[in-house]
Amino acid sequence: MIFNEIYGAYYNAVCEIIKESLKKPLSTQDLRRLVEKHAFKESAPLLIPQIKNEEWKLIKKDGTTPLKNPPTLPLTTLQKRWLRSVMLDPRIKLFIDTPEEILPEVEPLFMPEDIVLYDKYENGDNFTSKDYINNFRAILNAILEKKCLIINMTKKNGCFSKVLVRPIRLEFSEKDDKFRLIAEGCSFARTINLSSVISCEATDKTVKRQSPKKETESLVLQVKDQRNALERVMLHLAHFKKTATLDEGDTYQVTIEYSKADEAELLIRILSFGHLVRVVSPSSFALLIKERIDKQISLLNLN
Amino acid sequence: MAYSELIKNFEKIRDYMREFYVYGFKNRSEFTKKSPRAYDDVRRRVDSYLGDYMSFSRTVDGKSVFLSIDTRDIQKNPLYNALKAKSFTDMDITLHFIVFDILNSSDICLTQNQLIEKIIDDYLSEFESHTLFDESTLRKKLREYEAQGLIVSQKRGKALYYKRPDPVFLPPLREPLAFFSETLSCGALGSFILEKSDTPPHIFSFKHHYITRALDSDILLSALLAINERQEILVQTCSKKKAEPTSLWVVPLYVFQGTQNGRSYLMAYDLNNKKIVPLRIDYILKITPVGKCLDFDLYRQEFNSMRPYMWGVTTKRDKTSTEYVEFVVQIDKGEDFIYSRLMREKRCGTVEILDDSHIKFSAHLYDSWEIVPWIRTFIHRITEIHFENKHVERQFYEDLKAMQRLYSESSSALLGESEGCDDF
Repeated sequence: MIFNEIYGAYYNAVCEIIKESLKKPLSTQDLRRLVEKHAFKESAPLLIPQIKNEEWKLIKKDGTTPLKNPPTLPLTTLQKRWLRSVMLDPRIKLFIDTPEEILPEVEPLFMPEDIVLYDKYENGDNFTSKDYINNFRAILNAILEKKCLIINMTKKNGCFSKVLVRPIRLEFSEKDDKFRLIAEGCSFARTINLSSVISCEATDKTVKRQSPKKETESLVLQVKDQRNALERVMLHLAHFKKTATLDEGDTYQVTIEYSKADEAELLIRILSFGHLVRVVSPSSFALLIKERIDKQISLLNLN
Repeated sequence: MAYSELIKNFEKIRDYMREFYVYGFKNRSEFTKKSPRAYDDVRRRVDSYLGDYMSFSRTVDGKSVFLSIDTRDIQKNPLYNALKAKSFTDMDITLHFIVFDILNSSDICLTQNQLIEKIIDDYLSEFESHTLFDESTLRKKLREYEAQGLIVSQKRGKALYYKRPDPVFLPPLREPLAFFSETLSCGALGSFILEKSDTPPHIFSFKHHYITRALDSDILLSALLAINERQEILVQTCSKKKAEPTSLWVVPLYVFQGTQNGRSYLMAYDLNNKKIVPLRIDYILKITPVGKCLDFDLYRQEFNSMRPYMWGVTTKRDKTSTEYVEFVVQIDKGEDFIYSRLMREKRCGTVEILDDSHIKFSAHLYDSWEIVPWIRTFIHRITEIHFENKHVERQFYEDLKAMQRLYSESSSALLGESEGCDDF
């Protein structure tokens, strides 16, 4: 079972408490600090009395411990088996050259073919290409070492381009099966598909730091809960920051925050729900939908 | 009973957390399954586990709780926290840390009696209050640890000795763990390893990331173990349509995960009805293995033969035939991306260029209703569309007209006339 106390927050907190108590007797403030850091928000008033009252024979009233070593725990069989499954995933080559040498005697928890992402796009990145792996690692190292990168890449229009950027993060989309580099320093290269990178190298040159700018918009939808539409919409859009309220009867109002750059993608996702979802605002978004529907009605001579 | 943050059974909070995260508009009185007190306790627990992600809104109907998370902003699935809330006894935690303190290296090998002696003399005797603990408690714990792979036993003569397993060599795995604990099934296991190392910097973010799967971790684990061991299983599942859970005797074949709709299914062979069924993993309450399945490969083969006709998860029903679907889209100059879109999204379908400005998609499917949402994403380009299933075709046209009315009429007009199917 994954839901097991040995992986639990209280065990983690107690582990850290024992580690510190081996160095010096712990005060109540020390306990509070450690519990707040390693357990849950409300844990301190529940956990500390159990320690102080010696209900767990691990920390004495004077804040010392009879334990002799900083606690350590071997990996569980489940963790090893999961790691073995990781080593069978083609994407592991992005990180490790010889994954077959890691835990070779351990039986995997599952095989890659046991799990099917049935609606994943077919033009995903080639994670086993040598050039792709080299570029991925160069970018990853640059992020870790906080270095800028000179990237030779192919732009959407097919032209070559050389850019100097500060890499921030690697964004992965399961649906697209692609990595994108989120970067700053170049206005037309804030998001770079890794598959479009020809080569890259770290540089000591720098770019001007920009305060993170997130252009988000609110999209307000009205959802009619027929044909299980509410569940489909809410689950479909679950990864957005959102709120929902019941309007009346079986009609709900859902507000999601989305990035302006993803508007085209979101537009077709909303269209996929058909007449059970209506865009309330922004009106420009609703207008785009209306125009598409009107054109479609006309193309199929449904007027 | 006094309030406790920890819980014995994860099912107690699984449903609530999904409601808070996926829906988030229900107020206290609408959580009818349990008592208001149970609701208050769950709300308080989830608030403690997830802290900053919890939000509240107040309407005339009352206060509602919701989890609002933009998954692109997070590097670690916050719902994994709920999996770290399993309750335990005072003796569980005491023995856990003491036993592994005694067995602190794989060179130390002790019998149960030697362990008891050390536990009492070197540890428990240090405390003012005495703790009674019996041999059977330790035996049970040792058996548990052995099953988890945390200790190994060795027989020497008549005595059974316990030790830590030999250490395994692992290269630094911080970055792969940060990635795979978010992208691979049962990733919580990876996140638990990761949190024992230094906190990794925020290297990865995830788009189209359905984090509720964390709540199904143990169900998914049982399903994957059963697939791996070629086991027949009993699946207890619930649905919105039936008040009581139902039980199915099946052979699990694959886990099918949607990357666009957040749903996951266990594709399984139903041994009573002799057909392959998709079971929503978030609706599964319990999985119990019942024995080895000798025909596993046969069932998988049968399923694989259906794949060329499956758009989503609907397999061959009682009828033998498939339903043909085709549509043509028009593209303007410079809109080659539509062809690319069709090619990358076509799944089991076929894409054919008709001329400079028209592309045809066609497929034979077990259930042509499943493809309708995707076809709608091409609205404003479709010049021709044909469904062999005329009911689906009629529904498609009616829905399209309803969409037009929706945006033509006043803002309150969110009414479709079609009765339609229950679900896609």
